[in-house]
Amino acid sequence: MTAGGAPAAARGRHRLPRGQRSVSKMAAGPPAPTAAEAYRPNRFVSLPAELDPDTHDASPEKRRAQAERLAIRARLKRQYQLQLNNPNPPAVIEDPALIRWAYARTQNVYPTFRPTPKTSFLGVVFAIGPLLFWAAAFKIDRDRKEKLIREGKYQRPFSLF
Amino acid sequence: SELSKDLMPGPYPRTPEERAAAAKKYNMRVEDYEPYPDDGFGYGDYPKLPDKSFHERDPWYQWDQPDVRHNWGEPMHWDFDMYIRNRVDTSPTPVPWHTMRKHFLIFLSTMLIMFGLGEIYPSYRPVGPKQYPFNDLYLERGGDPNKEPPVVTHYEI
Repeated sequence: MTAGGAPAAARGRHRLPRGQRSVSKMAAGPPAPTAAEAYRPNRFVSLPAELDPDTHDASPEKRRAQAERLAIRARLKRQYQLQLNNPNPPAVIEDPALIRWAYARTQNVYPTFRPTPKTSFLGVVFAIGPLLFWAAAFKIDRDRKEKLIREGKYQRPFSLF
Repeated sequence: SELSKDLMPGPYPRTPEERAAAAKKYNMRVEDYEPYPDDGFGYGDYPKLPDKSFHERDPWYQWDQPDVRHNWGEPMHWDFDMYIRNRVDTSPTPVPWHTMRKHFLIFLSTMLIMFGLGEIYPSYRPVGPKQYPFNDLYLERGGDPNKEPPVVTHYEI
C-alpha cells in the first residue's frame, strides 16, 4: 500500500496518485509544461511578454530596479537634451556609448585577446584550416588535370563564356 | 578620441570594485552589469546585454534616435549593427520557433525526397521515335531528286 503520493510505475499503475482525476497522464509523469516552456525561446526568437512570468510580478525589488534604471535613463536624457537645446550647440553631439562600442569592437580586441585552447582551436579551424584545405584541393585538381592532359585523355571544354 | 582612458572599454574586471567602476562607466546598474565570460575572445569588460533586436523595443517611446530606437548614452549591444531594424529580428513569433522549423523541415524533406524519386524512377507517357514526312525528309537530307526515294513506312498492319 503506497502511503505517500509516491506512484509506483510498475506496480500501482491502476491505482492513481493522490489528487489525480483520470489516467490521461502517465503514472509518474512530469507536470505539463507551462506556456513559456512550451514556447522554448532561443537565440533567434525571444519569449513574448505575455508568457513571461516576469511581467506579472510586481515585487518591490523589481520596482526598485526599474526605478533605478529610470533614474539613470532620465539623467542621460537630461544631459542629451541640454546639449541639444543649447543656444550654442556643439557641431556634433558625441555619444560616448557609440564611441565605447566602436572602440571595444576594434581597438580593444587585441589587448584583451588571450590564446586559450578554445581560441587556438577556433583559429586553426577557421583561419588556417581553409587555407590548407583549398590549397590542397586546387593542387590535387590541377595535378589530376595535368596528368590527363599529358596522357592525352583530357577533352578540352569548348565554351564561349 | 577625446574621452579619457577610464571612460573607454578596458580589460575584464576581476575585483568587485572594478565591476562597479565598469558598470558606472557603461551607465548601467551594478546588478545589471554582466561582462562577457573571460574566454580570451577579446570582449574585455564590455557588458553582455540581452540578445534582443531593436524590433522589440517600444515603437511609441520617444527615443533620442528613433530610427535605431536607442537613447543617448545607453550601452549598445555588441552586435548592435546586426540587430537594427533592417536586419535580424528576434521579436516573438505567433508560432513557436521549433514548430516552424519542424514544419519547414518536413515540407522540405518531403519535396526533396519526391524530386529524388522522380529522378530515379521517371514517369511519362509512352513515346516512340520521331517520324518525319516526305519519305523521311529524303530531299531535305540531300537525296537525289531524279532517283526514286526509298519508301519508308512507320506502321505495321
